[in-house]
Amino acid sequence: MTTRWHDHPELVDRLAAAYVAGSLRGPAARRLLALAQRHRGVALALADWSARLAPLFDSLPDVPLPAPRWRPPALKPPAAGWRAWVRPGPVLGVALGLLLGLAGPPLWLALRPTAPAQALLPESYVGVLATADGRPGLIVSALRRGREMELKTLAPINVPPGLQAVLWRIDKDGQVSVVAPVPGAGRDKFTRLPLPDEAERLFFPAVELAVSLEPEGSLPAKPTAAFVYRGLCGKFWR
Amino acid sequence: MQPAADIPQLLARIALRDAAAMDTLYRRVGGRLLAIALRVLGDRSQAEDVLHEVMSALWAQRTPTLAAQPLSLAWLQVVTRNRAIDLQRRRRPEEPLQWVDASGEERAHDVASALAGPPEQLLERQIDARLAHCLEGLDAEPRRALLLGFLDGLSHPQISARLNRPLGMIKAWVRRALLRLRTCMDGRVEDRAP
Repeated sequence: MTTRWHDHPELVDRLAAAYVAGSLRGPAARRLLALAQRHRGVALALADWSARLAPLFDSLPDVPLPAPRWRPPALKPPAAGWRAWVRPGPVLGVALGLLLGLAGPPLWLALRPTAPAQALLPESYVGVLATADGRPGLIVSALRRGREMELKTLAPINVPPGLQAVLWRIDKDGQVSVVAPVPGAGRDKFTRLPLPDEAERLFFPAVELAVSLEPEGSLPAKPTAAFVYRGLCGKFWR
Repeated sequence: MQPAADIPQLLARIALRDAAAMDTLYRRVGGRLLAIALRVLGDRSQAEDVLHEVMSALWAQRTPTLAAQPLSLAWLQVVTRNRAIDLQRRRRPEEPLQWVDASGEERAHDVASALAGPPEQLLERQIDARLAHCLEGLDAEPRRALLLGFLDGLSHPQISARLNRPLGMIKAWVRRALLRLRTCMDGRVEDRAP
């Protein structure tokens, strides 16, 4: 049986200590860092050693700051009202395009003079989420009065062992609230999951939905990691 | 630097593209991150480049992450120090910024006066009490070797040259110093070899 070095806690601890102390360099350091992004034991060792030694940095006096040089387009204040739905950006552009692509034909039919009064689709919330690199990623849907949601994965993601996907809603003020864990999101083509409350109560305040990967068995009040999916949440009814 | 109690919240907000949180974090910790880079590089302009890289990566969510661990200030500081080391190696890998002259006195290249000098002098500033206590428990030379690597970003060969000690000795010193620090800080009973 092949023994992997990262199965040995003492060795992992020694390497993590060397990395944080600045002793581990070059390819070995890069390998350790790459492994830490998917191996919880290595990650925890690095986090622990960082916490132990980082107070040494307190010995350095702060240096006066220059003006910040980073000013990406995303730093503009969030647009108000309807403009928030069409603000530039490849991720949101994809999400909006998909939303219109999904909702467009039924809407067009509904607007025809001879069309029936009700929309063809039942009253629903529909979230169209893109990946971090702007590809269509995940569709989230729930009947307005329902207590279930359905997810369709368009772009799978790697969910490391020990982590689970968690769905968040983002309101018009940028406040983030947890909705529910969504195991299967990013992995299974279709997933149907119960909602902790009626969809209307959960999704009504939402302008956007997002998914992050959090430790299994935990449901943090705020995301602890970057979003892997994010996009607009639409209310589909007349 | 102001108390770090709300830094995790700021980092979490930044992951949600909160520009105000990014501005706040920059003001709160930017000076410390710049100091970390400057201690390694000894060059203000290059240290500012490192600061810019680190903050830009943070905003773009390209900071190296640790599986199932929230991003922390401690990790961000380590990332900054390592970026500075990488830049230093690309620039002039073998030229020391500080050295000991013939009379045994420390000399430094153009390093801001507040950051220059032997790393032990920096410890005269207030740091975490427990860490300070555990560092005092180390012998002087191994402690210096550890600090030269951690704060100054020197490699083991550079530390060996600086302290005029064999490379193998430096490696052993640093390894044992880290073990003793862990034992001390984690409150374990030290297992001393006979």
